[in-house]
Parts: sequence; structure tokens; C-alpha cells
Amino acid sequence: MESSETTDRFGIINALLIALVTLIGAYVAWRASVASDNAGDAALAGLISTLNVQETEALNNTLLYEDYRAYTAYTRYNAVGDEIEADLAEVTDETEAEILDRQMREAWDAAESFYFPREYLKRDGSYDTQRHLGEAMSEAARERDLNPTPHFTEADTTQAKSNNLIGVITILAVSLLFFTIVESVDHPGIKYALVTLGVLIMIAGIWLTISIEYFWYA
Amino acid sequence: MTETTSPKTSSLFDNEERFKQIAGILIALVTILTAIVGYLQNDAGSLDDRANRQAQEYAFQAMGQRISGAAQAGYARGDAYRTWSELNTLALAAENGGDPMAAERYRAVAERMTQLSPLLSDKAYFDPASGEPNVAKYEADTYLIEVTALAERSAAWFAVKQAWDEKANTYVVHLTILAVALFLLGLATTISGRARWIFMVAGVVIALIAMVWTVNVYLTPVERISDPAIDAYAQGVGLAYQGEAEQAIKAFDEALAKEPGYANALFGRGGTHYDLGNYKAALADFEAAQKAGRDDASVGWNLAWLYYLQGDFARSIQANRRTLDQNPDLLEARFDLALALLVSGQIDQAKESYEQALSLAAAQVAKAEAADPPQEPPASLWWSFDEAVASLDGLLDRIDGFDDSWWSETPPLDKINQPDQVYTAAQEILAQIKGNSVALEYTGRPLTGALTAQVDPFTFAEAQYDEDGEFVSYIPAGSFPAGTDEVLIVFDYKGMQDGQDVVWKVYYNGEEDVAWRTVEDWSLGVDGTAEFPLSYAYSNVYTLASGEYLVEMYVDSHLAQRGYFVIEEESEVSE
Repeated sequence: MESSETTDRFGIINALLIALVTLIGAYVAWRASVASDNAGDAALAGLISTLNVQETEALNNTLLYEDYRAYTAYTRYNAVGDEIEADLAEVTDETEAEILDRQMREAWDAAESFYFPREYLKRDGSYDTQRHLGEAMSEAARERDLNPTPHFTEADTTQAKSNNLIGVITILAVSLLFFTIVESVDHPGIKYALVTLGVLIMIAGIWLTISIEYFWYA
Repeated sequence: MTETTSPKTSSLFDNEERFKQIAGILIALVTILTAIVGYLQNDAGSLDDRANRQAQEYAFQAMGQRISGAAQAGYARGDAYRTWSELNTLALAAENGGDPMAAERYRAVAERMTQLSPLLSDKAYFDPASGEPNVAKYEADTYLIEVTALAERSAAWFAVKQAWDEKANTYVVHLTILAVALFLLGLATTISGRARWIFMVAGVVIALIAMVWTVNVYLTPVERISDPAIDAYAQGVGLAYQGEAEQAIKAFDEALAKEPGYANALFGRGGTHYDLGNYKAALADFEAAQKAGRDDASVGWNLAWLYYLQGDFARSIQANRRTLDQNPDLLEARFDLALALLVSGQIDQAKESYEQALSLAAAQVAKAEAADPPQEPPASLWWSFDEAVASLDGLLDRIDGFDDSWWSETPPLDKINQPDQVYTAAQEILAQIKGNSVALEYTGRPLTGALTAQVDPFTFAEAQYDEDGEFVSYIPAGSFPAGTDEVLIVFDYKGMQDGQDVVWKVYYNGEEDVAWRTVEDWSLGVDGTAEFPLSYAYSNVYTLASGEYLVEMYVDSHLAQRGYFVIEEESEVSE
């Protein structure tokens, strides 16, 4: 009678352990799915950010060269006016001087007609294209996400977490195997050894799950 | 009393308890296998996503760099250099006009302009003495090499993505098979009798198949073209773009040394060999590229053309047909197929093929017109016509006994079947193609009707003027000395009608110079003598460049007349 009672109790405990492993496996699968989903979202955010960067750079380069074209025309007419001014100093003929004076003023007037942001003119008269582009990019960064790296890092980290949680399921399946084999063994010593192994592996799986969830990828 | 004895121990096949134990263990093992495959599937899926992300990232970067680089190069070429060139032209005009001070001013300002862009300020790109910047080198250095590398990396990662995707999908198949195995094993436990063993064995066999297949898939490597190979390839593309063919081949060789099956590098090297005239090497590379997996219209079309140039017309026809199977709308391949049929002596099939090509072109123009809103046909359509005509012109020159000019390529004369018949057919087809090109461009419809006017062969001449600038007479010639700034095309005509569309095209060294294209309504009456000027007489700077000129006159899209003249090189003596 006592032996039969012990056998029944052992069977119940084994069944409970199987149920427990199954529940833990379900929880781990859920967390792995959530992590994978989050990884996908982070990757998408990173791609959107990458697109933002390229679009912003392309647009700002286009705008830069629009202004630089105007600066080029300004420089050209300004320089023509300067050269005429230099020649004017050497001209003695009054008629010729009058013509050159008019051409000089026309050239300078033409130069002034080209609009470009004067704040980017350096002291030597050259155009600070680096500053123009840099300021435009910084301004854009205030309104748009131009840094994809953190998103991709998060995506990689979260995906690794998901993959490792899937691995834990495999470990829990091994634990389940031992609990199942117990049913087909008669020798009590072997039964208890198998159950012990199964419990140890289950505990290892739980420890791994907690570590992955809260410590390794925090 | 009857003594009860324990029943004889049953065999393994009949022992219910033992069967269930075995079934339980097998189900647990298959469950573990399923978990492992599930892990591998998830891992492959995440690597697929990662590779996809990487491919997209590089594609975006390539797009951005290309736009930024094109803007920078566009400014350098279109603004900085154009301004420099304009100022030097003004200086030359001022000098020729007797104002050296103005010329000096313009040159001084032009010198200042060179500081506005590295294209003009860096000696690697520009020598002011030559007047021509090396725009190709500038573009290659500024963005082309980098963009090529980024695009190649994107393609390489996309190939990785596809490989992992295939693995992940195969693992799903394995999971499905394992589910079937589990089903059979589970079913076996519900059946009594020896039949249950059949289900168990079937389940085990299926599980084993899945396991072996899984191991096979797992061990299959996923390879990616290495970054150093891609960088070498990108260098090759940049060098080829600049016309540095020998250096480009070395770069492609380096890429192929690192990745022997690099299809794009084989294609690039093939194209560079072709540019150098190494047709055999080009052919070998294109064939290798096709075998390495680059089996697209570009490769097929290039192969077909090389077979044609080598005189292997049968393979040219086959390659063109294969290309057209993949891309039925590729007009260039249709024209090339027709050309290969022509030179192989299949005149009727060639004419039919040319008809099909012209119909395809007409359909493309009509489709563009019929779109809502109306669109333009692709620009390459007109280029296809020009290339088809250039090929036929080259063929006619070859049969006439001329060597290759630098702008046309033709197979050896001894390979051409029935050259006399080919010659006659080529002349007829050439006029048809030219007429259809003009008709489609200016009316949107194919060429119809026949030429009603008669235009006599052109006389090319210079005009002679007296002291008062009055015209005296024409001085006809076939060639004119270097520095000539005006050539008049003089011709007699009959049967013209006022209001007819007249189009003039001028070709310089085999390629149309569209700056001379003229479209006008005829207004000189039914018959008489007329002249069409090619003139820079107004200019202090420009003259007609040395080379061969072909002038064509079209009346209502029909080619009415064409003729050649030459402007000699400076060292030659006029006849």
C-alpha cells in the first residue's frame, strides 16, 4: 500500500513538473516574440533615420550649390568690375574713361543682383561651403532623427535577446524529455536521478531567462 | 482450486506498456528536434532581416551620395568651368576684336574663377593650357567610386538576405515535416495492434529525413562578396569611366583574384577589354559573367554584338533572340538581330526583323502619346535608331572596301555572306530607318507614303564675295581647309510644295551634332536652286572643326538627299 502511495505521489509531482516546464516555455516564447517584434521596430526606425540622413544631405547639397552658383556669378561680375577699376586708373582718354566707368558700375550692379547668404562669406572673399552645409545639417537634426546608430544597436541587441530566449526553449525541451523518460523507467533510483536532472535543467532555463531578460541585455 | 499462473511474457510488438514508453521517448526527442529547428529558423530569419536592413542602409547611402556628388560635379562642370570657358571666349573675342585690355581683364577674372572648384584648381583635373577639364576623373574621385562601392555592398547584402531567407523558409518546411512526424507518433499511441508500429516507424523515418535535411541546410554556407573585392571593383569602374582602360583592367583583375566568381567584375572587365578592341578577351569575360550568374539583357546584348564583330553570326542571332526572350521591348537588340540576319545572308528574314523593330518603335511612341497625361518616349529610342543606321553605314563602308573608322565597327568582309545583295538591302533599309526616325520624332507616326520631291545631289561650296561684300559665285569643293567658317550646301530641287516639313541633320564624325538640327516649313516654291548654310561667319571665335561632315535633308520625313564633305586638319594641304 505504501509503495503504491509513493508511486502515485511521484507521478503527480512529475506531472506537475511537466506542466510547470510547459508554462515556463510558453512564457519564454512570449517574451522572445515581444523582443523580436521590438527588434523589428527598432530596425525600421533606424532605416527611417538613415533615409532622413541621406535625404537631408542630398537636399542641403542641392541648396548649397544653388547659393554657390549665385556666389559664382557675384564673384565673376565683382571681379570684372575690379579689373575695370584697375584699368581705369591708367586710361587718359576721357571718352574711353567714361565708357569704362559705366561698364565698371554695371558690373558691380550686376554682382549685387545675385542673392546668396552673405554670412557664409569668409574674410578673404571665399565662400564657406563647409559652414553652410554644417549649419543646415545641424538645423535639420533639431527636427528630424538623423542618428540611425542607436536604433540599429537596439535592434541588434533586442534580436540577440530574442534568439537567446528561443535557445532557452530548446533547453526547457531537454528538461521535458527527462520528465517524460521517467514514465518509462521502473527503477526508483533512476527515476529520481532523471527527475533531478530535469529539475536542474529547468532551473538553469529559468536562471537563463531571468538573466537574459533583466541583466544581459539591460 | 485452480492455480493461477502469470501469463507468458508478451513480445515487444505486443507489449502495450513498452510501446507507450518508446512512443513517449520518441515524441520527446522529436519535440527537442523541433525546438532546435525552431531556433535555427528564428536565427535564419533574424539574419535575413539583418542582411535586408544592411542592404537597404547601403542603398540609401548610395542614393544620397549620388545626389550630393552629382550636385557638386554639376556645379563644377556647369557653372565654375562654364564661367571660366565663357570668360576665355570673351577674352578671345575681345582680342580678335582689337581690345587687348578687355581681353586681359577677362583672362584675369577667368583665373579667379579657377579657385571656385577643385575641378579647376587641382592640377590633377585641369590644365588651363588645354582648356578641357578631366570631368570624368573629378566625378569618379568625388562620388562615382564611392557610390559604386555602396551599391555593390547593397547588392551583396541583398544576396545574403536571399540566402538566409531561403534557409529560413526551408526550416519552416522541416518544422512542417516534424509536425507530421509528431502527428504519426501521437496517432500510433491511440491505435492498438501491430499496425501502430507502422505509424511509429513512418513517424521516425520522416523525423530522420527532416533531421538530415536540417543538418544539410545548416551546413550550407552563406557567402558574401568581400569588401576588398568590392572596393577593387569600384576602383575599376571609376578608372574605366575616366578612360583609363589598362588601369581599370588591373583593378578588375584584383577584384577577381579576391572573388573569382564576381560576375559584375567580369562584366566590367569585359566592357573595358571591348573599349580597348580586345574582342576575344571581352567575349571570354562576358561569357564568364553569364556563367557566374549575371544573365541579363546587358550581357546578352554585348555577347551578341561581339559574336557579330567576330563574324560568328549564328551565335549572334542566337544571343539576340535569347536577349529578346528576356526583354521583348529592347529595340537595340531587335535592330542587332536584324543586322546579324542581314550579314548572314538571310535577307528576307532581316527585312522582316527590321519591320518588327520599326513597329516596336512606333508602338512605344504611340503608347507614350496615349498615356494620361501624355508622356515622351524614352530618349534611348532615338539613340537606337542612330546606332542601327551607324551599323548599316559601317557595313556599306566595309563592303565598299573602307577600313574601320573610329566611330563604327563591322565584321570582316570575308565573313559577310552575299555582300552585293547585303549592300542593296542595307541601302534600302537605311533609308527606311532614317525616315521612320524623323517621322516618329516629329509626327509621332510611322513613315507613310513616298517622296514626291526630287532633290539633286548636294554641292558643297564656299561663297565668293566682291570688295563691297556682294555675292559673286560659289566655289565648290569636297574638302575645305582648316579654319573654314562657312560651307554652303547648294542643291537643285523639283516637285516641292510650300508648307512641307523640311528637317536638316548634320553628322560630325559619325555622330549627329544636334546643334545644327534645323526644322522648317518649305517656302521656296516648287522648283529651283537653294542653299543651306553651315555657318560661323558671324563669329570672331568659332570655325568649323576639322573632320567628316554628313548632311541630310528630309522632306515630310522622307530622306531626300545626303552628302559628305570634309574640313581638313591644319597640317593637310587643300586640294
